[in-house]
Amino acid sequence: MQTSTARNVAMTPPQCPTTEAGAGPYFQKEFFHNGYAKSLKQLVHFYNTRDVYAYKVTTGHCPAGTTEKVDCWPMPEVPNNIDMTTGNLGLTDQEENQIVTFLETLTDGYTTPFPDANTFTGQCMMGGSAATQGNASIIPAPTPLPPCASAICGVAPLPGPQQIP
Amino acid sequence: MHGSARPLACCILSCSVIAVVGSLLCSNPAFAQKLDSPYQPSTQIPPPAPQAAHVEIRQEPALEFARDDLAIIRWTINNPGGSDDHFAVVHYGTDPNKLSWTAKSHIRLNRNHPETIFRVRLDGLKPLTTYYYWVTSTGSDELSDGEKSPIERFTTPGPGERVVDFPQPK
Repeated sequence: MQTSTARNVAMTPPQCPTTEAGAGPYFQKEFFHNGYAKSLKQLVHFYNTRDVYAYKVTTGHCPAGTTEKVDCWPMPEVPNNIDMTTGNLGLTDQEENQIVTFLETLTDGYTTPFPDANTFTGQCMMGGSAATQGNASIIPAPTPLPPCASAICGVAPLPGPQQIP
Repeated sequence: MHGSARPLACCILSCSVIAVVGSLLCSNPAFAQKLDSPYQPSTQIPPPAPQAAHVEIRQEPALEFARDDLAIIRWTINNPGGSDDHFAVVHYGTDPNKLSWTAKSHIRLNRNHPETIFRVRLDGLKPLTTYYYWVTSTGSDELSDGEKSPIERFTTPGPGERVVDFPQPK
């Protein structure tokens, strides 16, 4: 698998103008392989604090007094591929916001090859707030998680360097 | 019988169509030219960086975070060079004379950085237990970079408790 670029990562339909929490429609996109992060702020906050607010719970079961994706990150489904380069970057809230602002500059507006890109027929996500982080849509995971398949969790974390086929 | 014969006939027909279309495409000069495009995606791994003359620990290994079943150890060394793919390695155990368990984290070195921060997760720990450990790092050949820390220790907290020793975001 090759990593996609961050180009147009903040692009949204004009009817729903932002991926970020705030006044009006927000949380228009989902990030990561399973859509767990609902905004770029959540995404950056995850890489910054994943190991600071690591709780031994599955999603939807953060302890009382904590908010999932704010000061509670549930356990990973698969431990083998955790990238320890990130997880506790020590960034301030303002520095997180600056990274989000940078990511938003990668929206280039160049849509010529895709003339229908702005023809959005869906509904904008509405309601909620930055405090709830879109958690109303969380489907609680079973506790404990089902056992990880040996074909995934039974192998070494990473192979050595290999040519990209 | 009819049920199984019909899909077979359809397959023969459709496969024939695909073969004909495929041969037409391949005989099309424009398509053939596309296949012969001079652009070739790079699949080469750059040669390893020069190895550092001396690798040393700049910040001693210390506990960054601990739960009753998990700990993260963090330390810093100067950039060891060599292969970009490196592994941070923690040898640990409950007996300081027998540190037989190993935890590893993969990292890709940034050649432009003078130092490298290593972080390793130790999973499956027991609560309220003292663990001893020492750290090192290896290249992709699993040979040590040469540095080795003294034996350190930490104690896991009780169930439900957490220890955060690395500065949290302000």
